[in-house]
Amino acid sequence: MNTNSDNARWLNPVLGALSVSLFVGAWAILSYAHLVQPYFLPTPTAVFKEAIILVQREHYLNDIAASLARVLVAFILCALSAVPLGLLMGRSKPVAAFVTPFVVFMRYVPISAFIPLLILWTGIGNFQKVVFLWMGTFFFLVALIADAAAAVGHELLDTAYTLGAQKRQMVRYVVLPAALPGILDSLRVMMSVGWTYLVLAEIVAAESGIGYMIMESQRFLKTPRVVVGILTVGIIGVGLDYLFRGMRTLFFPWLRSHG
Amino acid sequence: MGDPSTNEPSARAVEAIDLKQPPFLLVDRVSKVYPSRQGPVSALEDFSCSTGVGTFVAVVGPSGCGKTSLLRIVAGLMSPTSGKILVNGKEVQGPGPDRGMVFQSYTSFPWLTVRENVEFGLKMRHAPQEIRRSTARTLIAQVGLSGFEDAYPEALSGGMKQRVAIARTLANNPDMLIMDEPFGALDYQTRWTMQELLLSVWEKARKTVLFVTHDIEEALFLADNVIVMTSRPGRVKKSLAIPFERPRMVSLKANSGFVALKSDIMRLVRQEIPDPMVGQA
Repeated sequence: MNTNSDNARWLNPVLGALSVSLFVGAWAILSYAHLVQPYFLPTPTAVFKEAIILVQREHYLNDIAASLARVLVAFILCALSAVPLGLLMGRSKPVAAFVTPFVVFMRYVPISAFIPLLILWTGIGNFQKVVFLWMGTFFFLVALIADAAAAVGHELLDTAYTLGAQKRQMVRYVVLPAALPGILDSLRVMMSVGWTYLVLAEIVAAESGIGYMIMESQRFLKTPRVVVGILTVGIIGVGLDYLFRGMRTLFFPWLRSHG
Repeated sequence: MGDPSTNEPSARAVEAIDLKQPPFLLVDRVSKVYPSRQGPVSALEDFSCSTGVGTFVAVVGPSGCGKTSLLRIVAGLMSPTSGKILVNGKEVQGPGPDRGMVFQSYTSFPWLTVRENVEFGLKMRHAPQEIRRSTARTLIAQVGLSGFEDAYPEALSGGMKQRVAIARTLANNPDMLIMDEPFGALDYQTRWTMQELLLSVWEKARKTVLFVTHDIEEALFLADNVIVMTSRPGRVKKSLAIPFERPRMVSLKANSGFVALKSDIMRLVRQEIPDPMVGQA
């Protein structure tokens, strides 16, 4: 007899595959049956052909590499800056009081409104794009990390104190290890948010990138290429997400597994 | 094994404080007032007690009488509004490894294995690895967790987690153990086992223990002295010396002297609960 959790182990990938097939199926029916005009929604075959052309003749892999590099560099900078600040905010009320108003302000401002300013400040090269992607994610990540750090139970800190730990040892030996799963989850979410800013980041004076390719194709109504771009980002995203989940089980063997 | 006839208490309730021994723990007119929306709430008022070295003291009293506040103040996790605590002649200024604490909630560090949890205090205090290892091995064996050294707390039962907590606290070789209802969340049978385990460990280490519990039977079974507290604000209602011989076995709980003393203490605690029909357990 199978329990629910036993079922889930083989059922989960099946359910995942099912949702993908439903999506592709709906797309195929709508496009092959000409229920929607091809320049609104190209057929899967057209998209596949266009993808081959892009890779073979138009250095699409370079675009992918350029976008990947921008997003990853911005993501790493974002993590390196937001994790320490978030930990500080989560564990120190004065720091939180000092930083919070500005962080909230920046979270509400539409990030694209900064593009003109960023061009003035940082030019139009890769640096501008990385700074833009960093800005788009940093203020969210700080808040998520601060929550994860604040959620560390005071019982654990009290226990550490009564075991002779000093205040300066708390972050390294208690707060950080306790908050680490929450931090990794936040990073996983913000990685996806970073990718959603890609097209915006590559609007300005880009000569490469998936977002750049999408913008160019849209201008010439090459709808199949737009779909190729969307699918590329989505597939990279699924891969990265899978990687993050793998890290979770690898780094935190002490967590109850959630299937 | 204690012979039941010698366990018969000659005088049921004896005033407990032994003035000949210099007090190891001195709680001197400690008061604690908490601010609240309804105005200040007094949790402890002029609470005083003292105990000699190596004594097992249990504190019982109605819910909300300030037992936990008392422990947190002795542990140094909270400062009293007035009064002071002396441990070994030194005033308590903050938490320290000389006063180990076991909490009611399971506070094993979930990211550390059983062995790493037991070694935590020694590691924080920069003890060399060989000493950490050997101390952990001895204590893990003493609390009956051999074979679980590399398990994470998540895989352990409640009783086993509290065994880890006890071993971890003892690893620091503290002068004193502060225990806040450590078996309160365990089922009845596990609780009995843990009480026996604690006594067997205590017989070896003979630390001074300050043990808070709701369970009068538990207090009586474990302690040399039982302090009954008044309802809030908590004061010492009565301090009793518990005469039963050691080592004690669970069978002691059926002893007529034990049962009589238990009902005496129950009556004292009952007096502090306004209406027994709505009183908390």
